[in-house]
Amino acid sequence: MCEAFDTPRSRLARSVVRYLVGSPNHPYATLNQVSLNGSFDMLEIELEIELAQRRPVPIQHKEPVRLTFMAHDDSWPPRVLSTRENFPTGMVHTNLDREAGGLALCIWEEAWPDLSTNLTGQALVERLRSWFSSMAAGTVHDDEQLLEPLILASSHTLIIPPGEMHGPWYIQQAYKHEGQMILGLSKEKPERELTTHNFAIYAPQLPGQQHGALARTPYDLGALQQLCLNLGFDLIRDLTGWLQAPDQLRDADRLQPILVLTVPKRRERDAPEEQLELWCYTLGESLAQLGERLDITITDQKTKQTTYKLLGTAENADLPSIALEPWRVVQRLDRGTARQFAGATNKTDTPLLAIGAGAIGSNVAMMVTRSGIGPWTVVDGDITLPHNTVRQVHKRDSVGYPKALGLQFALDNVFEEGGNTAIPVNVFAPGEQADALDAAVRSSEIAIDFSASPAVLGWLSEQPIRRGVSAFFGPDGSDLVVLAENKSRAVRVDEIEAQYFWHVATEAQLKGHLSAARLDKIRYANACQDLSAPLPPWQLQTLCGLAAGQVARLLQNEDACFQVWRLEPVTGAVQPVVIPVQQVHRYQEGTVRVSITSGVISTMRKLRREAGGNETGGVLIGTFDLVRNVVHIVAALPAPPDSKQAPTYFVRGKKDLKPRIEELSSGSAGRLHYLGEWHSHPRAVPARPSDDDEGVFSHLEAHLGSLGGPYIMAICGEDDTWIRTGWAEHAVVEGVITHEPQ
Amino acid sequence: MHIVRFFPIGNADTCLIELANGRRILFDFADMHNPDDADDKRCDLEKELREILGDDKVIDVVAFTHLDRDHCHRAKEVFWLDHAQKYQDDDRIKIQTLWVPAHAVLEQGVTGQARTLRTEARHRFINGEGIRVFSRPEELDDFLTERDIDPAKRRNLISDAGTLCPEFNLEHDGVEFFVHSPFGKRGDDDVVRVRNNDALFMQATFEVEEQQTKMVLSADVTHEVIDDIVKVTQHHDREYRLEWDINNIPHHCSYKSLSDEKGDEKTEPTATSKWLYEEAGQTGGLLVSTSKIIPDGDEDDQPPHRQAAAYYKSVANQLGGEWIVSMEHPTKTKPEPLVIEITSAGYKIRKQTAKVVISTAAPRAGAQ
Repeated sequence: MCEAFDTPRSRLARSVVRYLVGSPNHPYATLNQVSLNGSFDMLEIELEIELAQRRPVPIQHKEPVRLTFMAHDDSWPPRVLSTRENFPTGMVHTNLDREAGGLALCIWEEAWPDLSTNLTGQALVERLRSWFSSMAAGTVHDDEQLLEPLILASSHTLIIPPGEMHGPWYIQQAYKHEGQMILGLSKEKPERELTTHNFAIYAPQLPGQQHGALARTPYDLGALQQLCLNLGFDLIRDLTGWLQAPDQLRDADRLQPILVLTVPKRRERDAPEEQLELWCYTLGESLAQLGERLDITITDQKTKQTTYKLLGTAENADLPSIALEPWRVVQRLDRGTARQFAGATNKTDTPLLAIGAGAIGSNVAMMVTRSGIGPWTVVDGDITLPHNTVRQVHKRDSVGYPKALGLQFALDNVFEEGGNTAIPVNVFAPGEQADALDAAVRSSEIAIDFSASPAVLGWLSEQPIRRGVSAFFGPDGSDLVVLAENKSRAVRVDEIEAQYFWHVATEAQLKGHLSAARLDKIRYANACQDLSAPLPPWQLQTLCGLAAGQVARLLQNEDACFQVWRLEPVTGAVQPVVIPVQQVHRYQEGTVRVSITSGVISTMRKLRREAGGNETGGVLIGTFDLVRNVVHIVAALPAPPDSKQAPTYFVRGKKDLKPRIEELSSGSAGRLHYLGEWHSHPRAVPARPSDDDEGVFSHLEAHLGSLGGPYIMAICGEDDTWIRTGWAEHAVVEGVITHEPQ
Repeated sequence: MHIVRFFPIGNADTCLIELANGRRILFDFADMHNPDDADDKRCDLEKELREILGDDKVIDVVAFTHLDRDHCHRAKEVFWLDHAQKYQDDDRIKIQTLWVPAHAVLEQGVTGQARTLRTEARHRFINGEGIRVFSRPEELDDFLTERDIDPAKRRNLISDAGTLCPEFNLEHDGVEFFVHSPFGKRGDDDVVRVRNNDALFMQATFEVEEQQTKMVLSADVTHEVIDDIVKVTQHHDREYRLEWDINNIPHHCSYKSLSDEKGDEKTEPTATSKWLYEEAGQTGGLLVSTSKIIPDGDEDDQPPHRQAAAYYKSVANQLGGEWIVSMEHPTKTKPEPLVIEITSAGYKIRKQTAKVVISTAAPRAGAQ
């Protein structure tokens, strides 16, 4: 320690001194004095502040401060005073009153026990310098931060409802915990009066105030009266009238007054009132005792009857002798406030539709709700079974009831603001709920399929939704898949699903994703339904958390999305896999819809170009849905090596083709199929079927038509690609895709 | 954000400007430190500069305001010079465009660093690329015609006082440079001449998010030159071209840049200098003296002079700004480069405590 100064007794103070005196580099602060004063150690320091030339608050390049440490107890934060006489007052994060020696500054935002564990002398000095820099720039109080409370909080807690802080107030909850009272207020009168408390609420509203410096917390009625007078309100006169009213006189000996003062605040002097603040105090005595001390009521000691005192006035009352206990006031959350705490960027409510209230749907909806995003309409026709309580939001009291209702109830209970809706039906058989389902489908900003059912995903893609999303797990429960349409629905979710199958079968980074799928089941994401394959709740919650985050991101992003998160259960590592969504060309005729990805077109064009003057070709791969009569072409394979290519013809060979297609089929859990043939036409020949080509199509019809699936022939020419789709019992569909310049 | 740096190099000048778009301008280079003197607190300028430049060893513009030793010392050891192979190796820093006043081309009888730089300036000027000469164009006619070069073909490489340097503009670079000196002055014989010893005097105007911050770079001019500059600028109603938020005050805080008289405690500036500092200085303005520590007494005739410092300091106080001496920042015992950020809120001096342990190599460890 430096001999020039006394050695402080506080460890933290010693650390500051050691840093300022012994730092090998300039600390941009100078220690001027150390004094040991009773049970306090005090350091006088001049800070050198990093300042912008043009700054909204007149902080100076050198700012003197006094730090006061508890000499033998560093579990209290040091008090920081600005000792500059003309330090600007009335700023946010300063106190209103100048006390002996300077103006107190509110430096510490965090809980001191957390902060102090890593607060070295250097960190403390840097923290102070940084505070002054931010103050100068006007950024100590973030624009997004809630307005500064005008007085500090204390120990008893008052919980008020969300929204406007106007009364009248009624007590709906009263609880004592470790000597402290917790009171919950409501705006509606409870059906049955709560009898576990003895408070009478006095709730005046003060004139509006500009948000600014913290007033020193009043600890007696005199100080509170002075504070209220400064704000333009005569508290004692108003309180006198309230105490003398019949309701208060009736039970004056039993009831204790609780003061709930409403103060409207605004950001700037002429700005509209933006927020209300509540100040809450108790006085530790009954209405009768308070009335007597104010000299405005009289209580008969025998009968305990209280009456108001004729000509009584509080003018001569000893207000400073009447102690106050300030209460901490907290407000229950609505969705808007929840969004602020959750860091959600959307400013307004967003109606969402969840189809499926099971493992993924219930957990994702719950986490999204906790972010203040919603409200949800929940659609699910199942009831909650006992085993569902392991991995779903549902609890024992939901067992036997519809999942949709159970989830709605759970979501409504997160905040004060509910607004969630349940439609407890299967989307394929909505019955009397058809209109409600249709309305929800049309009005929801995003409709999300959580059902793990390809059929539901397909159904969703056909609905008049604004934007469709599907979120599901891989069969072993360690992969999460999110497929999302772009906002304009240029690519529909079933078309993205088809691309998903292609990539799963061909991408190395998705290897094994569907390997646990059972090819005898239609449901590929069967883990959640498969009781023989236990899935730990932590694993499910981890992936559901990622899905919930993705839902929030989708609201801020208009683009389509195809993303997989792969969880390694042993280490807990998660590997994200992002696949670009390809645009599609889509054409529809009658009941048949055909889509082909831009990747297929560009592959055919590339292979055609590489073939030079010869024709070339290959086979088409994709998925189809026999119920909805939809076929998606996702790949064009090149010509097998034994194909015959000539300037005027192409004969597709077969070498290695069968194992290749079988590999694609097994890699996609049986969802990728051979759909037909493609070939190219040379430059001078239009991409339209020749007689030979018609023969090929007849060949396809003969061999595939009877199988019930679609069969397709495509011709890739110089300027466009022609496609014909045949399907039993449906009309033949033809389409032409004009090529974009390359 | 743009960054301006001054270096603790004693009574000498070096100012590096890094623009937000990555382009860089270096005003003077004077590496004055003595590596053999452990008490020399001047920084190793070459090392500092190379650390800032990193792998990209090309500077868009290097300006030598004049060729005195305290403005160009060790330049020929550090920079790639086009005129001779011995100044060319991969480790040297390349100069895309050289800015010099006319006398750096025309001056006779110079030696050492100045002579090498004069040769480089002449080489680039004769070849017609990689240079800008600040002068009345006519002053260079004889030099060119003697070398069989049509002066008209070099006009684009010459900037006269009262013009903007074409290498930078506000729209694309967020900065423009206005030339005040060298300038032509009509003599008693009614002939306009550029004084041969006139150094560059410029105003840089930075723009960030439509907010301007102005810096005056005044090299080693005397108060007579400042008087002329102020009068000419006022005559053309261009007072805004002398406004400043940052002022690199001239000649290492010499009283001669303020007045002929030093004064006892505080130099009283000429009326025009007074206008330049007190009227053209903006609120919160910063004055930088690139000099040694301001002395307590008057033993040394050489600058800095404490009386001149007292005046500049009073200007900083009056403007609510700052007064920084390069060899005193942040402390006299351990001076460091002065780093100034230019943002939409004006200038800001970086005051960050050095993280020495992780920003330098650890000492050698081992059993022996």
